[in-house]
Amino acid sequence: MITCYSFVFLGSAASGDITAKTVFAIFVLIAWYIHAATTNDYADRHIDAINLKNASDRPLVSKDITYKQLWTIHTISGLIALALSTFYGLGAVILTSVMLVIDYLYSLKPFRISDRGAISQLLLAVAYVFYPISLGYWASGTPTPYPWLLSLGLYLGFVARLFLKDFRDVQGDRKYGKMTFLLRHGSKVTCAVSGALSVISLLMTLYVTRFSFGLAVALVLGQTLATIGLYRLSKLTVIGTQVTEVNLIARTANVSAITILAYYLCLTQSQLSVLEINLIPAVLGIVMLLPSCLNMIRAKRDYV
Amino acid sequence: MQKLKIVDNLGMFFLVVVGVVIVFWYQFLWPVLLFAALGQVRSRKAK
Repeated sequence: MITCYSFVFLGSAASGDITAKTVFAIFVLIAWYIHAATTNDYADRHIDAINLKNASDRPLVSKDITYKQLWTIHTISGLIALALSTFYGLGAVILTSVMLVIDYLYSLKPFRISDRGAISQLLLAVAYVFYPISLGYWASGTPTPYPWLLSLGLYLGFVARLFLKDFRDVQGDRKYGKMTFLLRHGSKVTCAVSGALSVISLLMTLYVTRFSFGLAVALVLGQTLATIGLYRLSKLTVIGTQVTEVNLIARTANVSAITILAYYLCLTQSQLSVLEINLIPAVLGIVMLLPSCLNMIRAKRDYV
Repeated sequence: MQKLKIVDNLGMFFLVVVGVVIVFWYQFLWPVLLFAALGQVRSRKAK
C-alpha cells in the first residue's frame, strides 16, 4: 500500500505537480485495496490457514470476522472506491471499475489468475503500478502527456518483485495445487527472471530520466544490492531465510521508487541548478540504501 | 554483531538528520521524507 501510494506521487510529480488530490488519493487506494484483499482472503482461506495461520492480517483465518461481515466490507469498499474516483474524472471511474473486476478475475474461479503462473504477476503489477500512477496523473491536472515509458519501466520492476512473493506461500500453494511460477520452475529460474526484468526496468527508467547522473548512481547501487540478494536467494532452502532475503530485496526496490520520486520533484522546481538535480537524488538514494547494505553484511555473517 | 548494531543505529540517526536537513532546505521534498519514514516504520514492524 505504501509503494502504491508512492506511485501516486510519482504519477503527479512526473506530470508536473503535486496537488491536494494527490494526497487524498490514499482513500481511493485504501477502498480499492480492501475490496481486493477481501476477495483474495475469501478465495485463499484454506491456503492461508496453512501458510499464514498466525498472521494478524488474515481475519478469516483468525476468525476475527464472519463471512457475512467480510462480504459487507467488500461491497462497501468497492462502492466507496468508485464514488471517490469520480473526483479524478471519468477515466478514473472507468479504471477503478476495471480494477474491481480484475480483483474477481485474479482470485475467484473459474478464472483464478493467481493460479496461472507468470500471468498472475503480469496482471497484479497492472493494478499496483498503472492504477496509482494514473490516479496521480489525473490528480496533477496539468496538460502533459501520460508518462507511459516511466510507467512501463516501473511496471516491469514491480513484476520482477512480484515473482518473489510466492516464496512465503510455497507450502500451502503446493498442498492446494496453486501452481505459481516458483512451483512450476524452481527458485533459480524465478530469481533469474526477476533479475532480468529488474535490469530491463532499470535501463528503461534511466532512459526516461535521460541518464541523469545522480539518479543513475543511486539506482545502479540499488540494483547491485538487489542482484546480490537474488543470487543469495537462489541458493537458500529454508523458507524463513528466503523471506528475509525477499524483504531485503523489496526494500531496495522501495528506495529506488522514492529516489525516482525525489528526481521528479526536483524537476518541478525551476530554481534548482543542474548540480542540485543530480546531487539530491544521489545523496538521498545512497543514504536510504545504507541500512540495506548493513543488513546484507549482517546476513552474510549469518550464512557463513 | 554488537558493532553492527551500533553502526546500524548510528546509520539510522544519520539518515534521519540528513533527511530532516534536506527537507528543511528543500521543502518540496516532503513526500520523500514521508515515504522514507513510512518505509522505516513498516520494516521495523516486520522485525
